[in-house]
Amino acid sequence: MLECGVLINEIKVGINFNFYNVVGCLLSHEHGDHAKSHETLMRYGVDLYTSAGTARALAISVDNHRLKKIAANDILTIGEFRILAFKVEHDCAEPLGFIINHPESGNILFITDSFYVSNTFKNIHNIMIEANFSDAIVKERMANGYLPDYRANRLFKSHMSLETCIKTLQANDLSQVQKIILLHLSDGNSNAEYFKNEVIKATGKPVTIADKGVKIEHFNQEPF
Amino acid sequence: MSVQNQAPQIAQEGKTIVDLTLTKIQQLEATNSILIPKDYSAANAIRAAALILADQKNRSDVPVLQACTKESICNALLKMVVQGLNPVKRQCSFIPYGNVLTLQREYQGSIAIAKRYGMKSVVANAIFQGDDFAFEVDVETGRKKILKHVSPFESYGDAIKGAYAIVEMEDGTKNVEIMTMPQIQSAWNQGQTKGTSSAHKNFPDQMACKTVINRATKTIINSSDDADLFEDDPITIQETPTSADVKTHISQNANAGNPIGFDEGNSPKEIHQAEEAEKSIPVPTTPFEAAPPAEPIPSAEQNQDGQPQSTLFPY
Repeated sequence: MLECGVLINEIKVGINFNFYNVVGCLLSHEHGDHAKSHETLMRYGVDLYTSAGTARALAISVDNHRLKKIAANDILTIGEFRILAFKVEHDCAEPLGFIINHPESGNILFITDSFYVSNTFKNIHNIMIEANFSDAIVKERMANGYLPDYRANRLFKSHMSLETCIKTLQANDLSQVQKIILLHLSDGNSNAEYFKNEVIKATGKPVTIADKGVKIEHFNQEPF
Repeated sequence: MSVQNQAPQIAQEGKTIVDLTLTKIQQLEATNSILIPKDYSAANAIRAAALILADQKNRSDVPVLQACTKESICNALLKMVVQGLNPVKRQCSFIPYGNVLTLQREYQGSIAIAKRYGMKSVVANAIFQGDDFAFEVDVETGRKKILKHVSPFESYGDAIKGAYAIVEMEDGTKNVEIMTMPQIQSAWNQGQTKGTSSAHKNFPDQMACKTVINRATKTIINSSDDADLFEDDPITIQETPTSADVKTHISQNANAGNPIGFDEGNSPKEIHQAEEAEKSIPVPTTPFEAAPPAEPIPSAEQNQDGQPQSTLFPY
């Protein structure tokens, strides 16, 4: 399970009430839209894998045996998954991104809530990456007074713009990439259709916009 | 680089840029490419600017002389010289936008320039709630004239209704510029802080006076022969200082270093190793081994709180 920022009931419906297949939960950082249900999940017996900084920020007791602290550059195995954590850039304690390896899905790159990433990545088969806002939309909304400066300034230093997202994708070897999923689109500062087309134009890969209830088929190493 | 030897280095850097700019100005002057105002010492202003710049840091606490490009620093200094502004008298200030240093003319600078073009004096007053204020427009000349402005002391300093500035030219003509508070507020809205800075909040009357003086002197400056030298700062903001800073930061730091990831294929026995020792981002050197799910994570043993680590797996 990747993040737990929705109500526990929605998680239950999402996994068809079957916790048997859940081997653990990877948590990138402490903000509510990612970590909301962490407490309940841990009580239900799901191991929470997150950074020491995030655990501290969430006030999770160090004695909690469901807490598995990880740090950037750690490699771990959870069930059939292998995880490589790396540092990302967000306005919180110790945010992480992940490369998730599974025999079925190959290597999945997961980056969210990061205004850029310092690493590059190799042998990636599927990508989940944040594209939060576009420069043009933000500037227009600032000029019209819909977006106060302090909020825009926070945005620039915490979330990834479409432009940075495309540059990040282009900086990496995409030859084996099957699918790109865009995450964390801002409600006001983005335009799903435009974002999708821009990323398709830049990468030539199938692009999906993650939204509530969107099911993504064939998230595999091979195209079919 | 240690902190101790950083200061002389920045001073040195400032000195080179000063010399560079001065040489450039002397070249331009020699070929009559620029005319510097008579009462203005370019060398003094540039040396003063160098001192100010040596102390100035950007939002990421990096000295601007390091963060900004040499070209942009030279350009900002040149812009200061051709306008005949002095940074020590706060006639202008230097603002870093990412790696670009820009020059912003302050209202004292506007007054200084307007004085060179025949302005004798400018006086501004704020109009407070409760003031008795009236003006008329001379239908012949179109010039405004203040008929009366009586301010009861009891309401002096109350909410501001507006402000006016009276400009007297050397030939004796007088010009009056009047702005209502909503007009002043829209002028503030063009600025970075949109009138929410502590100066605007704590001293709204002084800030309102500055705004109306700026407007009053603008006509004099922009109708001068050298109007093109003093072009106004663009009204639409292309970048905020933060967004420009962030962009520079991203371009310098993003997507660098050797790629990390699992090697080709999916064999769970595969070993992931650091490729080169000189990598900027440390990658784990401990070989990865297929481990049972419940194996403790290496970092979990180091308790960052410094408290004795309790058993992670008590059963």
